[in-house]
Amino acid sequence: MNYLFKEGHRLNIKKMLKTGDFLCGITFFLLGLLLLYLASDIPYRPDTAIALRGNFFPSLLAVLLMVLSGKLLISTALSFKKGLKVPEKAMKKESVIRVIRMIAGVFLFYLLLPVLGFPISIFLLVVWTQKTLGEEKTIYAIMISIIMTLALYIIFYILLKVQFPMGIFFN
Amino acid sequence: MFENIINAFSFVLQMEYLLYITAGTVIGIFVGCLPGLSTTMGLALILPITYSMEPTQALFMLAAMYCGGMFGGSIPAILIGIPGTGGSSATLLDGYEMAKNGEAGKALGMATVSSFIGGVMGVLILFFLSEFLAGFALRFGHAEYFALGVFGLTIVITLSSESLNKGLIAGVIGLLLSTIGGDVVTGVYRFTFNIRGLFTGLDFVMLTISLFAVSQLLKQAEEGTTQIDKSRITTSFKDIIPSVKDLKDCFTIFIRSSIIGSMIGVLPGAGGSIAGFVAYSEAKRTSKTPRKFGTGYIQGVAATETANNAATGGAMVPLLLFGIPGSASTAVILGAFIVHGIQPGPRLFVESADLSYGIMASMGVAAFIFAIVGFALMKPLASLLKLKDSILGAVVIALSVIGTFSTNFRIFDILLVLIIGVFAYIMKNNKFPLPPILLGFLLGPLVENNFRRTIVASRGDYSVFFTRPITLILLLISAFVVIMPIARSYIDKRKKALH
Repeated sequence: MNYLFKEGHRLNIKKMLKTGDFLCGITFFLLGLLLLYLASDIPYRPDTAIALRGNFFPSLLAVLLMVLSGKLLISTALSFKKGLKVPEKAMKKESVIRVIRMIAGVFLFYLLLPVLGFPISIFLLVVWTQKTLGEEKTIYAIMISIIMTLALYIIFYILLKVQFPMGIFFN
Repeated sequence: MFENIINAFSFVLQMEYLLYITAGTVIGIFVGCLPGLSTTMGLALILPITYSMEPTQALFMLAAMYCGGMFGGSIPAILIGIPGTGGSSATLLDGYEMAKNGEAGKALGMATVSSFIGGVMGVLILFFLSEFLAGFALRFGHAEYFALGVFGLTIVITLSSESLNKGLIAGVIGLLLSTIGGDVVTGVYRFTFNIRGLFTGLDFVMLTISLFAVSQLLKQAEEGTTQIDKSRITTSFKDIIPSVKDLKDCFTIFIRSSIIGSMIGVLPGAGGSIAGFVAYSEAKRTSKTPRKFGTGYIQGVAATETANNAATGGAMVPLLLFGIPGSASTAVILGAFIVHGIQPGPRLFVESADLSYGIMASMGVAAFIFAIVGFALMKPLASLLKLKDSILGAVVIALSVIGTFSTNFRIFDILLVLIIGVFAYIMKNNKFPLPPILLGFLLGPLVENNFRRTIVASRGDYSVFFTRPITLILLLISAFVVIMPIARSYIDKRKKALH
């Protein structure tokens, strides 16, 4: 690993730390380590053969994940050394905001569904999603959401008898 | 045998039965194309309605619904990247890519033709080879299922065109996800963190939604577009109906995938999902243009849809011949047999030949009906992609959350799908392939549980993996599939170094 610290290569480490491959490699390696630790807690009878224990397969997979992640880290480092890899461009601020909004929308739906019920929650989710994905006219988004909510309600709740939570207003 | 086939088709083509088969097929397509609502659930919903029907009417309708559902699952897989049924998971690998390239109509057209061919071939194989397939299924024990699972996992290599290492990591993630929940052999809970919602493990449909729909939606939010090339969307019949050249190019794929689908479908616990992936992998491996697979290649759609529809025929073999359901859907159909006081098994073919052969014929008729429905719907369905990106995204998120909730009727599942979806999005952004995660999840239980059951049954004798012929053959094929690319790559590097 000494070549990484040679003059002219020092900058590569900083660049390398910013790459998705390196970050993913580290994450999966740590995940493998964590899963190996958690797998050791899975109970088993002492007289059970190793291959039959409940923790055998998960432990094996956790070790495999660590090995493959380690290989990814090494190959990323080597790619940087050879100049074959460059850090990816950062996401634009607007893109990050849209992604966060989308995640927040679904999370809020999850929180509001038992309280507001299916019709209102899905209506709000569909409006929110359309606005996040670039629909500029709010009235248009609301109209589409009403139609979609009605259609989904008729198909799933009435025809297919899927019992959605109806919340405090429709119960 | 020919006399039986002719009698069977003459029987089911009476107007009375034709109406029930048509109704079953159309309902099956409708249920199949709604993500989260599996064909099994649809069959279970319709089952009470069949109590007042004649046994023949009920069973023909349910069998037709089973076939229609398998075809219906391809529609959302192609249009919005969410498979409607597990069997269509492999269809989105190329089907959704074709839709993004503006070729949704063509993909739907090929899916319709392939499903029809797979359905008919599956029925013909059922008629002529049911006894052979039954004998084949009986030779499958735990060791054979383990070896089949290992063979299935080698498909990860086929699905990891860009980076094998990343594909393997994704496959291992899928295998790890399959370990969440109660261990079937010992009964202990693994990686549940005392969360009740995780005690039963993750659901296949939920995982599919999070990996493909949610991650795709987040990608759409990031890029501000669905990535669907709307300028190239064409809905003329000339561009939708597969050309003679396409059909000629796919001829061997149709034959091979039908055989793969039937043989895998006959194995209880295997089914359309695995059949689709195996057929896809074989089509890619034997193709002269393997790099085109995964980029929106029509042959990818042909392979998966032929196989998963042929698997419906195969799945009926253990049910009709032994009374053993091979899947959740055929378990519901078995329920219908019992409700109507009929015991499936070898005697069924002697005592109720009209019924037993009629069920097979009704599946063949269902293939014709869903082909007609499919061709009728192709144009309007392909036109749906011309809608605004914001509306398409809203449809995807609405169907995703409803489909997720409909699986287990738990609100917690929506949070789970969101968390996995976010991870899938991050992995996707870093060029990790997502299909291997699904494959690992699907095959994990097959590999782990059957390995352990084999060890228990053989009392710790590992040589059983090398002394049982089918097991040995499958393991050798798996080793060959793994070693070949590595050896080829090594030889290529040596050649380059010499030059």
